[in-house]
Amino acid sequence: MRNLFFLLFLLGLAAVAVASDEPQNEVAIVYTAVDEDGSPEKAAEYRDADDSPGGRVSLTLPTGKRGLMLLSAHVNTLDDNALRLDWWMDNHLSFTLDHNEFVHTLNHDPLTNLQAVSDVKVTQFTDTDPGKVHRVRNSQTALRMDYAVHGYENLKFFVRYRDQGRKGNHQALVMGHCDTCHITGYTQQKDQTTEDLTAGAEWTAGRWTLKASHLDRSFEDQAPPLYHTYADARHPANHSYVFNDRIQFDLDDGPLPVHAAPESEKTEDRIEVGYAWNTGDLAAGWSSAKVTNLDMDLAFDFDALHAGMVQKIGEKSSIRLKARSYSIANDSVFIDTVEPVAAAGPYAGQTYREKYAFDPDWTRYSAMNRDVRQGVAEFQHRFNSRSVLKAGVRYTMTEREICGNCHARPSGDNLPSGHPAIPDETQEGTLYAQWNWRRPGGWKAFLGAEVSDISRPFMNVDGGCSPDLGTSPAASPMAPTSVQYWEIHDSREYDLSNQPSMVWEVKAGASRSLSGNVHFSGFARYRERENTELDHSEWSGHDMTANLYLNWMPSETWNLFLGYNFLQDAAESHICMPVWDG
Amino acid sequence: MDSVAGMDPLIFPSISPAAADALSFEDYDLTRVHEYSDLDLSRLEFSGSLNWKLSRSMGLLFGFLYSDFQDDDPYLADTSGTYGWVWAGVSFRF
Repeated sequence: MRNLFFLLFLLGLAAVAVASDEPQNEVAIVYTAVDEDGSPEKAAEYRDADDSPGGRVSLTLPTGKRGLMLLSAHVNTLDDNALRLDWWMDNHLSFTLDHNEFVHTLNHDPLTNLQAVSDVKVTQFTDTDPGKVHRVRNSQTALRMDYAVHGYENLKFFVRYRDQGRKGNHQALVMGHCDTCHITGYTQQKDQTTEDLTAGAEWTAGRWTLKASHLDRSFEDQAPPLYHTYADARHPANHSYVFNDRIQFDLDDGPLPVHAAPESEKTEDRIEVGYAWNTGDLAAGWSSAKVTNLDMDLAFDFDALHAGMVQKIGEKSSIRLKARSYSIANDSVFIDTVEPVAAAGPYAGQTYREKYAFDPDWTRYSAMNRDVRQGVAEFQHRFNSRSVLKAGVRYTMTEREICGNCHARPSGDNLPSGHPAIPDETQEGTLYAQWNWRRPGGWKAFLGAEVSDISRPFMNVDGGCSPDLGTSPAASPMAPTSVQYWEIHDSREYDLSNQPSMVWEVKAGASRSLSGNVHFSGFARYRERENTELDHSEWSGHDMTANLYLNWMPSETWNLFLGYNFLQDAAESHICMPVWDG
Repeated sequence: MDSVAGMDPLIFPSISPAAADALSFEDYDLTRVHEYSDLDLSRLEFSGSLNWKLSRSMGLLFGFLYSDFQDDDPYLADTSGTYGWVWAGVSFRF
């Protein structure tokens, strides 16, 4: 792409030779020098760190009898630039080229926060590249061609190609093989490419409009894979091999790939139809998409239908209706756990399954699976030129599956042992109203309120808080009286959710031009939330948001902006805090 | 830009002596947990540019940007730093 940019840049320079009498084009060559001190993570989060030549181009070039080309480029550095080319060859054929690049500086976690618990016995960290500054160069090139058929201009076709790249490095964190006790940080290369090819058509006939398009997308990361060698699976104190049957892989397995970004592809089809009449319009559409993880042969499907209409009622009122239905279906994944044999200790020669009659294999279902139906009905009335009231109702029904303890064992859990995902349904209804008022040349203001009632909000069923299992503390997880991790996991009985079952909200705002170049605006919102639908606890909270802005623009090149934002969020909730050994 | 954020302390009910005894082998001091997410950030930024027209078809360009970011309550690491760039060039109009 850089070669293409410089070709266009040279085109601009060459155009100097055919300069017209009235200067309307500009080409500039600049050099940018950069200086950094301290951490660049925030001070230069989206800026290049390298000195570089750059330039500016602004060209308007007639092409042929009816053609016109506009070229603009702004190159701060070779990795921080934007370019756009519009070329209308005639009334039927046009091309657009968009290209931009920018650098994103990413965080580097020194991992020292893992010492948050004092007197650390088991947590440790290894940063293999301390102090490394991680940067990714993001780029995007989009080329679009539009064609209106000669002699039948109501029929148009388009083709669009997009290439998005991310190249650089980031920090990859790897957990230890038994839990999160040992965190290792690596510098991982990134060389990702996303390519889109879209083709479509649009046909208009009288009051009718019909659009259709098809998209093919591919994603690939060509960076070398990252490998991690896990520690030897030994008892942390006496260093014996008594834990082999509880850990799937360790030093003996050698370097294992981690942080892999799978190759994937996506296809998407869309059809939209519209019809307009004197007092309203109607639009409806269908879309279907499929995304496939090519490395694992996993896919998800998305299908949607939508329709909406607006109808005027008299001179001052209108009604808007909107409906949407969509479904998301992900493949489930069977986790076939590696089950090694204990090399030492009282259970030497046995797998964990053989000792505890525990089946570690399970099927993972996607929490994204759902069928959703949505509807909106809104009435709007204009009282006069200054005042408008709109009020409506929104409704969403989400049919989904819950998977609390999908891999539950026989332990008296609330859900059947080893059950598959079971169906559930969330319904949300919202009533809202908003009044807008404006005085020509003066204040604008609005006042709004809404209330939502949600049944069965999304939750982690049986996700927390285990009862006293009635066992005595054991000296070792291998002692006969010891409670095993899976028993604690399966005994959880409290539903957890941060989603509300009831929401009340009021909001208001105002703005005004205080003079020709001074503008003021303010906004405030108060919201109360609660969830009274959990099985063992409930929570409530409220938040308050307010902001004030004052903008003074005495000229095109001078701008003074003052802003104040305020947010307060309070919540009262039941907490189960897991401590040592679950 | 100046941003400040903080939490009130977490309040836990008393635990039983038996539970406290069971946890005695490890120090779970959570009295400062609410401070871990404190934020105190400020950013001061200046920028400017100058286009000096030497003639009808030629000019000189100058520009600068300076950004000073201060992290007065670091979370994972101190992210304080400064960044600056200056640029200069020549422009042709035709």
